[in-house]
Amino acid sequence: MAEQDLSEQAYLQDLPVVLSASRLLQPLSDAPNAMTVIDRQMIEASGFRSIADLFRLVPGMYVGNAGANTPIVSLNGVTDQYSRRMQVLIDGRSIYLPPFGGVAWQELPLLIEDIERIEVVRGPAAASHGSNSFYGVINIITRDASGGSGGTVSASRGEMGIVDASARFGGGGDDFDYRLSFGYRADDGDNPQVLNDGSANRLMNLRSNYRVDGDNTLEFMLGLGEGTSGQGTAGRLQEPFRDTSTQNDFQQLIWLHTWPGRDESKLTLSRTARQYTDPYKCIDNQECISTGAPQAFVADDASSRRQELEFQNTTQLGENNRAVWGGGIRSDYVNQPLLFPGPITLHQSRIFAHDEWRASESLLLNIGAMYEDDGAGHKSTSPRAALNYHLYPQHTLRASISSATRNPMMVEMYMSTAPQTYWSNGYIPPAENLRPEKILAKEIGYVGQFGALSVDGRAYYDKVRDIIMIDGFVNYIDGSYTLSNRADSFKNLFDATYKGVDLSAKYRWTDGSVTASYSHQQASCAFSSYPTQYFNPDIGQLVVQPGYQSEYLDLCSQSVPADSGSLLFEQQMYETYRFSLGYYARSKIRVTDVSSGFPPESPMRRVDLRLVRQLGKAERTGGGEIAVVLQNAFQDNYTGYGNVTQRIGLTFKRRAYITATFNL
Amino acid sequence: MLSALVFVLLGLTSAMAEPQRVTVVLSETGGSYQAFGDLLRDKLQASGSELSIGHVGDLLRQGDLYIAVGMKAAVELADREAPVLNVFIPKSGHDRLLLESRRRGTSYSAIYLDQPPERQVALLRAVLPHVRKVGVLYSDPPPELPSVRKLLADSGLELNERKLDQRPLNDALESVLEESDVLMVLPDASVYNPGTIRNILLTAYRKQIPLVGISQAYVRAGALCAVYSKPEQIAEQAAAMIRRYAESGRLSAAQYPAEFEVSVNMQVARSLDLRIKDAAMLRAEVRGKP
Repeated sequence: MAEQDLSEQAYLQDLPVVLSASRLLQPLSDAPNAMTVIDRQMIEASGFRSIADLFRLVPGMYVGNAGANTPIVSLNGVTDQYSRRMQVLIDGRSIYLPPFGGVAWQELPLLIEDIERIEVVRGPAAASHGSNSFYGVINIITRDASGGSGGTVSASRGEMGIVDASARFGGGGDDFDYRLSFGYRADDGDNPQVLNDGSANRLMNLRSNYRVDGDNTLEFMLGLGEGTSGQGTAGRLQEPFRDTSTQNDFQQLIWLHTWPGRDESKLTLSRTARQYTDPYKCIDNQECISTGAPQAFVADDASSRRQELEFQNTTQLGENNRAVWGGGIRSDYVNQPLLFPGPITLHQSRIFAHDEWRASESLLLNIGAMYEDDGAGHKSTSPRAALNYHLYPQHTLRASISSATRNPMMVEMYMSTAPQTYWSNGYIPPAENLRPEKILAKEIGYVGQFGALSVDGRAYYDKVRDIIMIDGFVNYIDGSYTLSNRADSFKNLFDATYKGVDLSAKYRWTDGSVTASYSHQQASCAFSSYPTQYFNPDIGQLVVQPGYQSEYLDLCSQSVPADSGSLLFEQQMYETYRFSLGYYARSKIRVTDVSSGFPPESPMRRVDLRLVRQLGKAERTGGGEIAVVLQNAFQDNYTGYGNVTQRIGLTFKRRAYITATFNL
Repeated sequence: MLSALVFVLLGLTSAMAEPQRVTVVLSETGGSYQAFGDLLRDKLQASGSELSIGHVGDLLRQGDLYIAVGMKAAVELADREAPVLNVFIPKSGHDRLLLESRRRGTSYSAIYLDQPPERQVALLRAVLPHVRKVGVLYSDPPPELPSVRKLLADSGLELNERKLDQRPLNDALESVLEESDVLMVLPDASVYNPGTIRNILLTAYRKQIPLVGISQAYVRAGALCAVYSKPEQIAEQAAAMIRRYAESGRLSAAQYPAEFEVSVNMQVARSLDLRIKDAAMLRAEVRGKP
């Protein structure tokens, strides 16, 4: 036996702070907002291949797709393809990219297997999660680098041309850990005869940490992704089948310093970039349709980049009071010649502080605010207050009031295109400065524990002011107004009200669990200011006919599913088998960029099944598993996003795939 | 045997005749070692003892009584023909020195750094009254294992042990966590060290399993709780033993720390959805145990 083993070292050694305040998951009963946690076990049980699909497990969340390679994820209504009203973070890095402000879910250089858990905050949380935490926050936490040495390889094959492969490795020394993943995901899309919606993506993802000393840790993360994504609709000459290419990369450095006691400081530096090339973009609608002349098509290149520096402190103000405060600066850059006259850079800055005070054993108060300057002339403050009252240790009531702003995106402020070129209608920058959208959310909630059963529910009432929408027919080309010869702009046009009820429950037993959620929601909209056309007698006359503007009021209320829910059941069977079943349902919904001339997405009732045969010890060296997943097992013919005739009635077909995983 | 007797008698007379010379030998500079030395000096100020503090390898001042702080110092002093009080060493370390040096009797004693297994098990039961399965990980079976096993069994708890063979730490860790409600740290620097603790704590946290540590550093790192003695408490106990030695010329038998602290990480407790008593209540409860 080594001499060291009998020494005092084990007792006196200095250890790094691992479960720091910022790493710990806040228990639902203490959280200032409604929150859903999707953990590793749920991710595996769901059998989903794509990260976007996981949000089907969140009450009230809509997951749709504008083609298999363009998922739409949204909370609350007025959703369009880009669903820009959420904050999306991966390990604290905002991945929301300009100029459209959405997330290219399919292209993220992150394997679903490398996700540790996802926390979804349902409601505005700008005070704690930064800009754009408007309808909610998706906070993806990846597996730590210290997951041990060894490797895992996995391969999938399935219908719809599914071919996935991944290899993940980990290792390290006394002060250094890393995990490194390589992945490939490809499929032919859902409806390859009609839509060119297949995709193939390669990625690499590295996460490492270096323990400088007991009080300082450096974490470095890096990701690279490269892929092709199909575009085009059969029968539409202006949208021929072609493959667009994308490149995504990010780098992130985190310095975590822990002070004596439980205080900590965290400095995060990150950079996220995306390159997109559509080699054959139609820029002359008429020409493309009538002659299909090659000169009517050009390459559409877009590059966007976000760089960010954030400083965050957690300060313990006494035994029962903790403050988190800090600030950040960010620069967003875009260059897309077909949409903007030149490159655009915006410098945004913000400060934030929030405080968690345990006023008594049963009362917890959360108060905070963020102040930001978006660098485009908008300054705003977003406060939040929440009260959690523990009726009994196992039963908590929550009341909260919370606000956030959504700053106008670059496309809304600066996009400038001629009619019948990039889009069928032209765009000009707004004549009147856009104001940020504002949300004020009020909710009451309950979180309870009955033995192995945990439940939570809430009722909410959200008021949104100044929703930015397309302001049609603000300009005309060549002196005449026609539907096909117009320029639109963006304007703060609507106020919306969302109200609803969410419920979720989880029950665990020794070798299985069931998670269920249900959400009922309602949306209504009203004009907050008049569309520009209302003041123009010439345009007004014309517009009466297509009813273009007021149509949005109608669409707005359809932009949330009245009822939606999910159920995920998992059970271990006969030692070596694991079975899971996912049920996902929602009533009809219409994404707002699908006009009333097209049917809404039909109700969905989909069942996914997964059966796993474990080989050896599942998570250990030499072990592995074979998993078979059957998505939409009973072939529910629900339709998807369709904003053109050819896309109407396309359904998500049943598909099976098999995945083999081995631990080296 | 005779020489030992003579030595004891000499010690006795010298203690009576002039101020007792106490030589403290620290295994390391700074940190808890130095803190212990300083605290001991404070506590002995009024006793009339002359205290000198040196380090392992230093030319040491002749003393009537040596205080070895840490294993290195204890090893160096084990062969001296002088009374030695070992502190900051685990019971297992002291036991081995007893075996190797064949020192016995009232001139060789220790205040252990570790807590009696009874106290550790008492804390575990006070913090988590509902746990049934207690996991432990080690590279070699620690000497206290049999008594821990028996104590747990007496309380109706099940011990789930895994030995780290050639397998990677993670295999043993995953396997022990799968079948345990709590992971109890047993001192083993090849399992628990600054390089592995991150992996251990994060893996346990992912599985919602709390860790019971053996020092405050564990609690700060993310363990749920720990029972330990502060250098001040050990210094107090050592000072009392030194005073008694000055009076009687005999060192009391080797003993565990009498006074102790309980530390809990409430943030971790909340995050794991565990509603636990606060540190003061737990300490009182553990103290109340026989």
